Amino acid sequence: MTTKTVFRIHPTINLARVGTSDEFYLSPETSAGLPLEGTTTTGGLPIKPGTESEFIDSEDLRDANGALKRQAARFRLFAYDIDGPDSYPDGGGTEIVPGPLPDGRVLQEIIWTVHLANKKAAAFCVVPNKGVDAFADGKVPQLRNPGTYGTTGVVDDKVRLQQLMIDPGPRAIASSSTQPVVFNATTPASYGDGDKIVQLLDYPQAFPSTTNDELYEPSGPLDSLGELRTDKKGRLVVLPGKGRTAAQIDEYGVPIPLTGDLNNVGWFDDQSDGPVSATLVFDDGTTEEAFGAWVVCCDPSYAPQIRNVVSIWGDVYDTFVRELNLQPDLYNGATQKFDPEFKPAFDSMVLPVFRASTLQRWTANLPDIAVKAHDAVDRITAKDDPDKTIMAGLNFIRNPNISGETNVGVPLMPLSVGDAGKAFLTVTKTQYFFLEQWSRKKFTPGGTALGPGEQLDFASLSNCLGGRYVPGIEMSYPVRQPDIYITDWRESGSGPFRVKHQKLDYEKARKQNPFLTGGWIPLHNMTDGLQPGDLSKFMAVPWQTDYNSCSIHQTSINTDDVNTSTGTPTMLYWSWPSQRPDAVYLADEVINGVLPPQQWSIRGAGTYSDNPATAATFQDPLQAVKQWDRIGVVLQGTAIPGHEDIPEYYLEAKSRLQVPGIPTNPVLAWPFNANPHKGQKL
Amino acid sequence: MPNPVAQFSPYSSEIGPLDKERINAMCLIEYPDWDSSDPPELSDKVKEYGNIGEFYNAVAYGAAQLTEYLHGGRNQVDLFSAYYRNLPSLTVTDSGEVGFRQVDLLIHAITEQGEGISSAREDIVYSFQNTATDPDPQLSHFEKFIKLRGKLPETYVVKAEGGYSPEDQELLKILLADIARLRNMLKKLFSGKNPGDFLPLMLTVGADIQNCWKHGVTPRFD
Repeated sequence: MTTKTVFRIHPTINLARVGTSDEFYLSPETSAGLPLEGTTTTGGLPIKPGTESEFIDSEDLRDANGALKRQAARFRLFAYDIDGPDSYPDGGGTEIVPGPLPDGRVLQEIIWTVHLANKKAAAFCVVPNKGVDAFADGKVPQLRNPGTYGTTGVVDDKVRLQQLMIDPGPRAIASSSTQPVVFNATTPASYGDGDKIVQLLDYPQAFPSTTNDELYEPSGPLDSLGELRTDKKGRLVVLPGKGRTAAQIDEYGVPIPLTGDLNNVGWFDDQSDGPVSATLVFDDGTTEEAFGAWVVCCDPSYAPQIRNVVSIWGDVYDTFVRELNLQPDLYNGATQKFDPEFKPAFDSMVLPVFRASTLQRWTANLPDIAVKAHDAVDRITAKDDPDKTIMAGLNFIRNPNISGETNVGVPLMPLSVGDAGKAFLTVTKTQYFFLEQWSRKKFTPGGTALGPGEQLDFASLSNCLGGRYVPGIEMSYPVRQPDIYITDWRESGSGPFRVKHQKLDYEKARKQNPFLTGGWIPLHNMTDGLQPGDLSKFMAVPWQTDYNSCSIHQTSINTDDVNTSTGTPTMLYWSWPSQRPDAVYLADEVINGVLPPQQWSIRGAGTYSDNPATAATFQDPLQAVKQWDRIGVVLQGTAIPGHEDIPEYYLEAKSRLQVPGIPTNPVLAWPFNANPHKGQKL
Repeated sequence: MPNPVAQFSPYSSEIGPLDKERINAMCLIEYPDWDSSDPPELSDKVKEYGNIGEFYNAVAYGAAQLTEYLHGGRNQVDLFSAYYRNLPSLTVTDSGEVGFRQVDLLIHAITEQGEGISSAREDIVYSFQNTATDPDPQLSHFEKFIKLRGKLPETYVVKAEGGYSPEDQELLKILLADIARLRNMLKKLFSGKNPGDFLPLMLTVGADIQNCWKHGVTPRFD
């Protein structure tokens, strides 16, 4: 069989994260909280710009004016020699940059094209107790901004799209370029076409200001979704927006108030997502397309090394294993069963859950019993007899195969609020199978040999929140839908975990018509791929109100206000503790290695509450929109000057929120309760 | 004095799956109003008390007689006050009469959680209710066992002891070893030491027990 070289962009999905500064650092290329060879620093730290892999420290989080730096997403190109259907893990792949390639050709230039869009205001509402099921049986949830009816009142309505969608169009940049290309209304749209960059002067660029004479923009004009740059090696660097928001003005001449957490009418933000393409231009004038990637511009990472028990990687991997034939030796798609002879690799398939459990204490107010129990879990190694550990029989892990267990709280873990319609979170079915195999003593020591590109895919998605998509932080339930991906990944040469790009004919773009449509929705058998904006549209608008409120909840928030849990109805649990820190230890208060009492991550003026359920939030959602950038970031001691000698601690640094002398909202010991309704007892 | 033995027969206190016999035994142990005599009938042997409540009544009676020797703030362990947000204190911090009231409160918390106040149909005192992990905090243990008796829970199938595999035997050995460690650690805990691994070991014993059940092995503790 002949060998063919294909080119792929990695990570297949990467995350850019908003910040208020012009400055930036690079997306992490290691996986949160996992051990790294040769250092006590664990994975997940972003990278200093201009370097290959040098970690940032707390001094890199803000610029000289105190503004929060953005996280840029760095993409690389890899060459793979394939001689038949692909498999996973491939273990191969070589990064390529302009210059001679391993196959003898000379790569002269890379033309990168990215198209960012934000369709949130034009999309459907998030339905907290239904999740993706709100799209089942041919139905769709209510549209956001129903008052903007247009002519038909449907998601593809031209007027609605013109007034509610943010679409600056695509942007192309050459690998040799030294100038950034901005996603604003004053920079023409452009895309790569063979070895050329074509400008689209008739592209219907749309920002909130395009159709609104007056807007309330509390942090400055929402006039850009970010920019493109290339680094010295011709890699692509995608910078996100600056976390700006815009609100329409109502008939009384005041900004439309924020009335909820998820679907605020009349509001826009500058998060976005879209396809990343690369055309390779060789010195002989020929060109070749790489298999594309996707970029998601989302919330900041306030605790980049704190591992989620279930990450987006966990969900994407589970989807590929069980529905897209990722590893036939692990899961048989025909019988829909895991192979009982499969032996998971301890370091890459079992240990990450253990590491995640022990890291939760740094962003949640866990009781001492949980901290000590999690530490005992973290001490488990591949050499231990599973029956002689605290995890004997997996008695403290909620089984995702038993539906009733999502109602069982203590002692089952993870003890955080579950996905839509479920009281508590579970690990994925694949994660649980790996744990079961370990418990049965069927596992191998060591890790999984990933290729360098595959490692980037894993690292990128494992640093994101999974499991609880109500709606989530970076992405939502679409990540579990097979039809968003290139499903013939074995035969096509694309490799797995790649979002399918909908083919867009940019030559047809005209100013008078919106170019993009309502786009992909789940459970409607839409297999043409995704358009720009088709992932971020499932997230809250504006994102800050959701981030703020999703701190601590009664489980009934997921179950139509009915307590289905085995706990007291007023009991409070953490929503997204790894990705949305709740209770933290302030680095400045750690003296002589002794931990101080925890404080809420969101604290100080404007946060006082007479109900513990909202104690860790800004009470006025508008304050969240204005002050999200003041929240501190939890980093390992090794990344905080003055605390380098305590690698076991993960502490909050660089908060610009007030530290109350004596908190009026102290962090309570867990378990704690919401105040009951009037007339009810605790 | 009522005698509920006929009502809750057959019963068995042998370790085994939570079937009707075991639940009957628990109902007898937690039965309200087994003996309301005041002062209680005292015995040197714990097994001679009619139920747990009667035993605790005797403890309270004894504490009342020895109030002047009661010293608070010593060897106190509090792992659960966050689970009882409405209870004034889970420790004895004072001495003498004030300390005795704290002791008496804690004994009442135990007995009323177990048996209820005095009648099987009344809610237990608000302050004694679990505020965290109990979906029916107003029900006494007795009431909960009565509910379970009405609908028996699903339990693991257990093997006859002669049918244990070497792996099953190993699970029992692990449990017994961890129980022995736990007993030692409990002694340290209640003597004012602070054994750092007590909590993980307590949970490990819980895992050992259920691991036995999952394998069809009836746990043993000595």
